[in-house]
Amino acid sequence: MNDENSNNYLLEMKNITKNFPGVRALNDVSFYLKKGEILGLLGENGAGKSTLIKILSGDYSLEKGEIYIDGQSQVFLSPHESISAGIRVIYQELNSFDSLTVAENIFADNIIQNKLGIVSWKKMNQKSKEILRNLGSQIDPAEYVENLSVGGKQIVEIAKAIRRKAKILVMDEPTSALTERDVEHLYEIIRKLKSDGVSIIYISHRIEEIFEITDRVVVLRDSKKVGEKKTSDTNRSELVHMIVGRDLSEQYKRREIQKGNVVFEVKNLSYLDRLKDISFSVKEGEIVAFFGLLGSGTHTLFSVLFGDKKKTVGDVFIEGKKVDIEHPFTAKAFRLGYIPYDRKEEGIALGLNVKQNITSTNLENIGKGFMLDRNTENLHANSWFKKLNIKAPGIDTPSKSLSGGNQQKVVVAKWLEKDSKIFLMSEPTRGIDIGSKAEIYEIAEGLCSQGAAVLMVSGELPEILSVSDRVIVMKDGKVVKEFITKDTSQEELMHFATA
Amino acid sequence: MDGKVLEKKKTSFRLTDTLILLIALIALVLIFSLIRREFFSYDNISTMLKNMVITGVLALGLTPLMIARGLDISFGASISFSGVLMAYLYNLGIGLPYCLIVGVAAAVLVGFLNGLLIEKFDLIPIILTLGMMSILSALALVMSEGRSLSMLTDQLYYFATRTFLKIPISLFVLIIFIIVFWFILTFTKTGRTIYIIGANPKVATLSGIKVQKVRILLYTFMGLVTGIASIVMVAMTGVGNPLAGAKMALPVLSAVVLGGISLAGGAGSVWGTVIGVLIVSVIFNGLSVLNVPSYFIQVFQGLALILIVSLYEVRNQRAARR
Repeated sequence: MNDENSNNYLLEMKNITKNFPGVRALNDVSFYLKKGEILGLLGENGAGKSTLIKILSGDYSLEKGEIYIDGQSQVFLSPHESISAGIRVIYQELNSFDSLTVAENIFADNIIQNKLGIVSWKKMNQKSKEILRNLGSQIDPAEYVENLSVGGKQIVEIAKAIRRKAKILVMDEPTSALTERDVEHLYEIIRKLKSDGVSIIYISHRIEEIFEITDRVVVLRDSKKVGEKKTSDTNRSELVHMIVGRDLSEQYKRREIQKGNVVFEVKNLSYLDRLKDISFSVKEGEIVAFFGLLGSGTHTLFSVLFGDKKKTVGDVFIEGKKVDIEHPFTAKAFRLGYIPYDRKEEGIALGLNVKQNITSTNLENIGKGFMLDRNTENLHANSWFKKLNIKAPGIDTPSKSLSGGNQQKVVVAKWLEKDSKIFLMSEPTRGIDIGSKAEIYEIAEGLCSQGAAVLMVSGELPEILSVSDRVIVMKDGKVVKEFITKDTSQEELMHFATA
Repeated sequence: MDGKVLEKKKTSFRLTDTLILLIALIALVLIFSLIRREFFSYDNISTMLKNMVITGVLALGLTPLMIARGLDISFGASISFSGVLMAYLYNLGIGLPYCLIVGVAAAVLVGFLNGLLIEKFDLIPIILTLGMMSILSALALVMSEGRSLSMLTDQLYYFATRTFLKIPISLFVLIIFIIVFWFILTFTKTGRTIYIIGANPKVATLSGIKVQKVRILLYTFMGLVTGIASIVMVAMTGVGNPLAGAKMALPVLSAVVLGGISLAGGAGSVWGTVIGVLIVSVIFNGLSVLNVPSYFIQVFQGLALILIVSLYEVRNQRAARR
């Protein structure tokens, strides 16, 4: 922070405060952004990052504070005005139109027409191509977006922002669903944008990325700004300390857990052409990780195992008995619990409150016969609420108002409530903060020490290495190789996942 | 975290919704009573409530179904069909109880088929039930050759005209339905399951809930409700009329939507529906008392629906933006 001259600032947000019913989401937060600068915005989920971005994008109204762009005071009343001011947000869940072509997406709000009002495809494709090539991407403008990878879709979103002459690009967890190669490509694009003078606010939970790509970082915690540093002047442990308010050493450390009998076994399982001849087994007390790049079949495997998709061939054994799981209802009866990849669409019902979500798996045991017993329900829900340390005003709080990490704890609580023994966890820590991550690991470990088995899909190698006992690497719907976690390395796993 | 939680009075959104509706209802009643004294007379109120039974019963049947993101618009045609069927059998000399049972069974079967086809083939409810509506109204016309078939019996006449404690007997049917539906939705596991499905069917499935089965059950139940409504219709009119239910869809769906049930599912309550039915009935009856021609009454009903739904939407958007 050498130059305090605010004339250099492209964007300045001053003393921003925002209240939601019962919660102060932002408390007097100020920060600035210079032209061509990449600013990392860090903080646990619920720290206030999303709220800050939504004020900038015009999704939330500005309640208290000031916003300046190029020194001009701004009051964003609508997303449209924010866009006109040169601000573009690329959300984690990409908002692309999948059934349209790349060029149509890039020009979605401004389809090029000729004098007769007929779409000029040639011109639109040509211009789209220019923008894409300029970003170093070989994507065909006439391709349908649904045929692109997540990384490809992201590039299309960036191209769209560039076409609209975005001055400030906000990227919310851009790498959370990308493969290593796509991440590298994204970095190249970001550096290119920087050299073109575009400023970027980069939100990520992955601290390695912050050091890789940002110039400066701002850290939020509990709705306040707790730190602001040049990236080159700080280090990993200092950032983690700022983010969670405690040291790295206090975080998750693995315990040794006694392994028991094989509780879950899969033999020669196939599903359409997406899973081929998969076999493995899991013991009591074991955490087995499944690793593979996008499209490797790991997520499909879990939804087949849980009965959401019907297997084509193969056998599943639970505690030595052959079982036929054709619906999640059956899976539940065999004490399987499922934490789906897409938390907000599949894991938790946002329209329900915390307790209704927790007991949703176990209504048969909440009261006798047809009657729902509210006292029993409160008792059960409260017990998990406390045991899992869910941070919310209470069990009647709407699930929507919880942070991602706490929502995920509610999803876990659903299956604890049902007394599940075999847990299928699809990216259980995706998009949640460091503190909650450690808590989820501890919960998984606690389950294992009571004889449960955990199967976990994860795309984060450091997570796999620190949490699991064994790793099964998948590629193109097949098991490539199985490793004992302590005998392998990130490089080796990545090698087999890509080879 | 504790520091962030500000003290604030808890207000339930559903309650405020219901309150707004209640106020609207009272306002309407007051306005009509002020303009025309006889609106608030026993005769008029009791006629209005009697006419409300069929709309009310159907709206109640739709409530759990729509909370669970289902929809049925074939009920009007189904009422016509079952009514004609009952009258047809009765005119063949078949005993009254058998006629009624067959009529209700037909409606139940229609409901079950609706549910089965929609859920097993993943069809859009409005399209499938539109098709069903077309088939049933045609069948009703064919069976009756386009005429109303008379079905006057002492028992049905008694049911339609007598009162108990000055309350029309048919109104007790509605009251029983209200209590049953309120009870199911509020106090039973089935009720909770319906709300869970409505909040997010995918989450419900992945929580091990048999979503398809529950919905098929709700469609079938809607069929049962329709069958009973059909008996009430025949009792009140004394005929099996192939066009009896033709105009039921607008008031029933208006009432349900007015009551706060969203087409997106998950929200709604029995009390909301009851007030919605009352509002629709008060508007219809009040304007009739004012001698407004019936076509114009439909204009007002349509306007009221658009107005209230717009208000809901504006409020939701404001809540989302905050």
